[in-house]
Amino acid sequence: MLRRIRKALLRLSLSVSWRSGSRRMAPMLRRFAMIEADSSWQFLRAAEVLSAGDSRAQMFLHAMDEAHQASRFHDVAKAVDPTSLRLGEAKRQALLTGPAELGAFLALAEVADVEKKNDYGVYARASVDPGATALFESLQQEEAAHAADTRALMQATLGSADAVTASLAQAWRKRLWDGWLRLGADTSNIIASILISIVFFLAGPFFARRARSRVAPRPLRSPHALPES
Amino acid sequence: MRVLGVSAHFHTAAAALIDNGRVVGAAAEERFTRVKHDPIFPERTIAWLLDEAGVRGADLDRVVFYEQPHVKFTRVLASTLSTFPRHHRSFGSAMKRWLGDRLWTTNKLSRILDVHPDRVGVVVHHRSHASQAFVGSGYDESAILTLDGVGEWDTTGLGHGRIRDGALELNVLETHRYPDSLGLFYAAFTTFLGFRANSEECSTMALATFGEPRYAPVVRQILKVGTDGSYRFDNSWFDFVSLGQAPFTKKLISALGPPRTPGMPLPFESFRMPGAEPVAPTEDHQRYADIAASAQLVLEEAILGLAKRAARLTGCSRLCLSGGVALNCVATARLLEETPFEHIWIPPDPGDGGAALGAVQHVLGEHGQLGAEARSIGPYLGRSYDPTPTLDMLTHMGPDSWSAYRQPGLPPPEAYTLSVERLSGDEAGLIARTVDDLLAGRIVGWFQGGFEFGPRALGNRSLLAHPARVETALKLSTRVKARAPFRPYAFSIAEAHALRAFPQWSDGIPAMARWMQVVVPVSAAVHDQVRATLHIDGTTRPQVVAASDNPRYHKLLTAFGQQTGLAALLNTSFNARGEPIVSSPDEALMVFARTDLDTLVLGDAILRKVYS
Ligand SMILES: [Fe+2]
Repeated sequence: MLRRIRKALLRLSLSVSWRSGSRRMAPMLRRFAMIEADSSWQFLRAAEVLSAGDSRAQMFLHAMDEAHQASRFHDVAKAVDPTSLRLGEAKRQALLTGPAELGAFLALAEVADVEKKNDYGVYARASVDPGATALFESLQQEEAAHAADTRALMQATLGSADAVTASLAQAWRKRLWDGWLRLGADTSNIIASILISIVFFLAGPFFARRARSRVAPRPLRSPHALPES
Repeated sequence: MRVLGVSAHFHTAAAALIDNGRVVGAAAEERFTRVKHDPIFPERTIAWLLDEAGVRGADLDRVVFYEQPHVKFTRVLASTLSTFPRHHRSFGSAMKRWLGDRLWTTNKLSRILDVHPDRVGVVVHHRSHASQAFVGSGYDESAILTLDGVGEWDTTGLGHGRIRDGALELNVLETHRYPDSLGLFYAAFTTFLGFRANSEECSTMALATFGEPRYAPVVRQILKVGTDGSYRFDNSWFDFVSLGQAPFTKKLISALGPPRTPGMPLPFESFRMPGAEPVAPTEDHQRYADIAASAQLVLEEAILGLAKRAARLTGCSRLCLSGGVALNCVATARLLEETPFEHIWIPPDPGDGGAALGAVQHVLGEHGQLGAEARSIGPYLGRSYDPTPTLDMLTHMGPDSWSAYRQPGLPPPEAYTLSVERLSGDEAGLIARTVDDLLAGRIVGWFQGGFEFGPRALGNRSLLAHPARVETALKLSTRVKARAPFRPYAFSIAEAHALRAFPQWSDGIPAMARWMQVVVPVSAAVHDQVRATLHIDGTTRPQVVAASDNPRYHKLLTAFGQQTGLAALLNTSFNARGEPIVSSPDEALMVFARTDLDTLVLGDAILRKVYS
């Protein structure tokens, strides 16, 4: 139910914001590139904490796949808007810090894959650029395959089906909880912005003159060394 | 005394640890987060350093932040309020960042590290830079110039340093305050030219070589240089609060024309295949190059003025430089030629990352505890890794499993099989194989020991190639990295052969040439042997390698020289498109797997693509 509402809202907002042209898609494509790059980083960190060659190799290949997806997003973003620059800020938080957490990490990865699969479907339909549509469609397939691979790995790691179910349920709970926290943070961010704007417009006039004088260009102490034309 | 230094929140965050005289390490956080120039609080670097030293946060005697957050906050307030009522969004985002986090950095350090608040302190930004510039030089006395973007309020500092019995005497004689900033001046032009501020200044510098400084008269109105060596920056030409977006005023655009759109191709090439026709630049392209040349020239005039002033005020024959502007190695070259200074030293990381180490050196200097290690700083301060787990993975995967993940946009690959040789205990064999590959025109990823502190790859995380082979360099630019053709490569050369390339240094090789910090002309006699590494004007930014600097790399260069007559190799940083230099063997392997890198030397092992 929640998921369906979310999908509908997403579809609505995309149909409004992307209608004005494919250039408007660039920031979103960049953001996806960042999300995929972050997944790649997560899997590389996961590979680092595993010593067994085979599971390490699996994590490594998964990381490489995610890096590949990130590059594809970057390329399509560049194609729809050559002037768009890479986004800067990405906050890394390793989800896996020890071999014992591998099962939980994989559950989170699967949940993320499933969500990406669903989202990319919506984006593919809303897209106004053929290159981006093709990418979203192909990634929708890939994320479904990722989810299946991750599930198999999780089964091998955790052993019992019950443990898998429990880990997945926990991952969904964490996802919901993170979403709730994000909503809280976004809301307080908006409130903070409003409060700060009020302070800015009320107090700004009293301090602006002093501020201007502190950052104003100052005259040179000595005549110019070099001729000015 | 065990001191941790931290820099963060503006440009390239970093941390450094000195434990009872031993430099445990120093690294930029970007190497762990893989976000280029990541300014985030350097948690991962700190965790690595503590682990490396085998201590907990609570065992630290002092923790220092590289600037005073509360003073910097007043500058941020003033600059955003000065344009009232414009920029209320910038004001809002700045306030949220500062009130929510940055203002409380020392509390955060105390909390995260579990260190008593009394042991957490701050060092004034330009004093961190001054210590970083001077202490590691090994000089007992020197003039010091810090050429920065901006710290708290100060942007440029001119000082004098002396070390006696491990105690630092640092006198800051003069400073320039915001907005009089050489770093911001150059960053503003970098943005104007369509590159990223605080990141792609090297592109502005490289582009300048293709232009004539015909806009210098305009630029001299923006950056006014006085006869006494002082300068003023007129910020009415730029809108600094929105630097990073479009900081240009109408006044600027009417004087220089419209700014360059980011991503628009530039037709300039630092080298091309013999016989290939150059593409003629359009009027607009040439205008951008001319603007770059003008900004570069006026920056050089300002730096020369400051250095001459420093020489006059201090009477020293030695100069130490730091701050991000010290990375402008065309400008630093002129200091060698045109100022009274006989010796000039720049630390391996002169920017804000290196200031984390500077803050530690400052604290040790206050306590009279500057020992030999803290006073001779080299670049190899980053984390080292055991490549064994990476190599063991290769029994479970290979080219078939990774072929689908090739970097998009590259031409189809040649089919290959993978050969892995482990040569522990056979360094001569390792070097001989690598030399064979380089001679055959293969591109080699060279991964050894701890990664470099600072922006340059200096033989521990380097991509290497035959310096004479232009086709290999072009392949490197298009099929491994995504390097703009107007940006030149550089070479490393073994000390014994340096005078053949740089006869002008017969009186002694400058310290700046050890870590690629100076751009100089290369003797025409060796041009053909280093063709692929020269800029269009016949210059390069060399790394002159002594055996003591990096023994294995020196052996490789020497062995290559025995085959070709010149112990030089094209050396560029080992990274994928848009990413920081690789840190771990896994990251190196990923570049190898996703691009046309031919050979990867991981410690004592060689991975080679054997083409069918
Ligand atoms: Fe700085």
